[in-house]
Amino acid sequence: MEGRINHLHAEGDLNTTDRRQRWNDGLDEVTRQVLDRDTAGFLHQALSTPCLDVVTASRGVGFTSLAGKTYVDFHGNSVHQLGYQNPYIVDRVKIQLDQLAFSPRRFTNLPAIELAERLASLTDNRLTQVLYAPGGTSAVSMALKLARIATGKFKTISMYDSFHGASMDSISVGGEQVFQQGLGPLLAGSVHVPPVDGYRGMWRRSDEPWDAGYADYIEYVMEKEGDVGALLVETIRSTTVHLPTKTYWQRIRQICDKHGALLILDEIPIAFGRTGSMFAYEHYGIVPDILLLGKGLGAGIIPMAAMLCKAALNVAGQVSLGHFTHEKSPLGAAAALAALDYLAEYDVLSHVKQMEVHMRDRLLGMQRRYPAIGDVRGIGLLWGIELVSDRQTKTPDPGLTERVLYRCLENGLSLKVAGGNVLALYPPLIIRASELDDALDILDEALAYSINSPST
Amino acid sequence: MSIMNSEASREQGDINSGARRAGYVAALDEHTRAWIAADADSFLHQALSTPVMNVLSKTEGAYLIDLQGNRYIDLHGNGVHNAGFSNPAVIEAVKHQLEDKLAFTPRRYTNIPAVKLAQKLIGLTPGELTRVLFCPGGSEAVELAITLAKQVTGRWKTLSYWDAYHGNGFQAASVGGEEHFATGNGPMVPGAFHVEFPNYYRNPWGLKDGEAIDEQYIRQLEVIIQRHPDIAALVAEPISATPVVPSRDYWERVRLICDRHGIVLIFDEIIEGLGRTGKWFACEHYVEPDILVLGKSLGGGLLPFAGIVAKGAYNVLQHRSIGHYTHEKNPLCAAAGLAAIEYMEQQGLVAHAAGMGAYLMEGLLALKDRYPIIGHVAGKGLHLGIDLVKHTDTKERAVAEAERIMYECLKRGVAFKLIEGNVITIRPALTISKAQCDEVLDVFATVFSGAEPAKHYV
Repeated sequence: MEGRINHLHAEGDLNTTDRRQRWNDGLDEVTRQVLDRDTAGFLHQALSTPCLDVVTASRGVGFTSLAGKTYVDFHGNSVHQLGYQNPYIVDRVKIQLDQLAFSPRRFTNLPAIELAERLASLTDNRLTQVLYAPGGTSAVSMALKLARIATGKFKTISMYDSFHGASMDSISVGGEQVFQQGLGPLLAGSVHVPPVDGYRGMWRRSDEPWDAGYADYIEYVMEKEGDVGALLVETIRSTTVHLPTKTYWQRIRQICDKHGALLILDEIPIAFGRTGSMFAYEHYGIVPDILLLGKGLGAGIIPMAAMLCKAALNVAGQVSLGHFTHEKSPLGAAAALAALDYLAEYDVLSHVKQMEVHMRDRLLGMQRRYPAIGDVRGIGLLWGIELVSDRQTKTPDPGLTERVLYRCLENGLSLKVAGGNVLALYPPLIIRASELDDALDILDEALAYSINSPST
Repeated sequence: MSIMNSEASREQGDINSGARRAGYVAALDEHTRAWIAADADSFLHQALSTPVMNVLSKTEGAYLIDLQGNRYIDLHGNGVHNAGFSNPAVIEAVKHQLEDKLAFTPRRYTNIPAVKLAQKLIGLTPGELTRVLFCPGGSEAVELAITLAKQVTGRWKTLSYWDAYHGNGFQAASVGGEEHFATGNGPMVPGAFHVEFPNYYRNPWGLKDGEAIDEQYIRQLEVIIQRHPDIAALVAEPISATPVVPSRDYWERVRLICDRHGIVLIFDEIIEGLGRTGKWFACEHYVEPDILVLGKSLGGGLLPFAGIVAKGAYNVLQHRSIGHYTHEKNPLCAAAGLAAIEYMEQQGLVAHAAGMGAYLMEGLLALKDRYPIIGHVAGKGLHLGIDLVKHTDTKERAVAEAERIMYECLKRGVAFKLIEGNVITIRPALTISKAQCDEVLDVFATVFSGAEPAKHYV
């Protein structure tokens, strides 16, 4: 696979490469036995089973394998804002387990209400109506239905390369061929446009705002389609880390208002401080009509997602958009409330802003030393570095990227590859400066080692 | 989208509007009503949930306990309570897993609880079902199953049943057969064909003979398959939610038709699996599906968890990620599921469900002899339903009376959900005792006999 990016790489590194085989061969026998049991029991998938390693315990910034190896986790499926097994949250979840873990439909419970009120207040009461779901994918489904019911229009605009979930509807609005291929017709009216890309994107401009062309094109599509009900976008693309300008987002907000389309922002992987603010949209001086939350909402302990929307969208009382078994999970709500308390009590957002400066300095320092680093992009503790074989042509170097990945894994730093040649770096937000330095030392060494090692 | 019905449908459950609901809520104490109001302020309003009817403080075994301390034997439980609500053994296992410092595992890594649960399910499910994939919710699991079927067959059409509920994602709602979840949404996922589920009590031909009835329903299925032989999957609950218990012959014939046309047979046992029908899986009463979908009680009544168990031969998607869910191998959920299953094994709850189901059925049939409002009683294990009618001959649905009965039972400590407006669904925790069954039957008898309306919880 080296030297070539195919569609399979879009969302992550693969488990079918030679290098993965060599990694597996290097594991001890007990671990390999458990991995074999795992491989025998689960359906095989390109990005998960067969797995890399067996995890037995976790705490703080990472986890420990069956063989006793520790990893600092810069991936964490984006649930690990507050680290693994945060005792503050674990304690609160245990207390809730002794009180009320589940609440069937038609009944409510206090933690579910308190969380809804808290989430609304975090949006300055701009998004006041809430629905929960067990996973982010289902939150996307709810938003798409609400948009159709509220606007009477079924078409959507979303971005190529985006990921919104693995159900048919979220695959339809997602923009990755690896998820769409082979499924026959998807949801009608799912129109796609190119996402902003300031490094390689075809419409990036040399003058500011560099991404104006992308917004122009969205307006063009809105006019041509005529009846688009919603624009669904990740405020900042998480895995490959692309940051639009403030001008772009303000313009998009205006375009949506002008054309009667709802603006749905998917912040499932990037909310709760990942970008240095509670929600990523705050950086851009806009408010969406619908906001989607998940992953870190359950504090890395409980699966939990939510849709927040403006009061004016409380118009679906005749139907059941959120008819999920765990519609008002008191346990999920307790975990989320604990996470929000922790974020406030320990002023995690300020810490992220300090670590952001540190992370940027270190990554830019590496870029100065390694010509293979074509681009460094990020905000808060959401970073991506792009590895290229030539800075002028910006040719992606997936082979080098995979070598760096496995070198990092060997030395105890877990990260994920996005888009084939982007090292996606999302440390836990609670990481200390010294821990961050240690992890970035591993990355630095892996770059030096991999650049100098042969490509096979 | 003016075609959308302005009044909520009752096909999936009792709705939260109407005078009886208002009357019920008005009789609750002030403290409870304040929380109900706060809830209605914050959550998007929905026909079957918000505004809610009460506030819970605890759950325990077969019971819900509200903020005022009133206890209800819950015959609904959203289906998560097979091992009982707040089962202490399951809570202990979850706490232990939390203390064992592994609540989450990111993609590309595995963990021992997830592997153990997968192996457990492979052991419990019949025959060739040997490949597992997990996700947080049942709706997503249904989509996993259909995606898998589309990928392995190279086809994209589906066949499923009117009135079925399979979840709320667009694909799940497309194969579902209820107006409530599809109408008003505009175009759904293409290629979703529907037929009627067998109904021996209310079949449209007025037939009485089971074989003749099956023949008609099979004919419907064949009419579609003849014109669309390229169907990827047939999706069904082996026993409907109402419930209708099809004949063994019906499913054997469907299994043969699927085999003949290369159609993947998917059984959605999110409600019926894990002991509910008196066997570990409802398919054991009938035939083996190609993919079995599980959810609800798989999370032990504490956590969201769902998944599929598929035929080994379908393990051909090494190059895809159909189960790309954050909590794909969640160790906490797996620990809860394992503990619930082990508890059920230790306590013999599957056999108990069969026994209590038979006992309740006997009691309900006795009530049917006394109260003509009961048109029909059906079910298997602890998956039962009472069809309430205005007249036993016309079988006209007694919708208003069903709602009266529901609120009167609620005030007497028995909670259930109505489906299709007039069917009382009875799905208690599988831990329910004989004495608790008697309590349910006594309350039914009191309310069916037209007892004076209770003002408050009695």
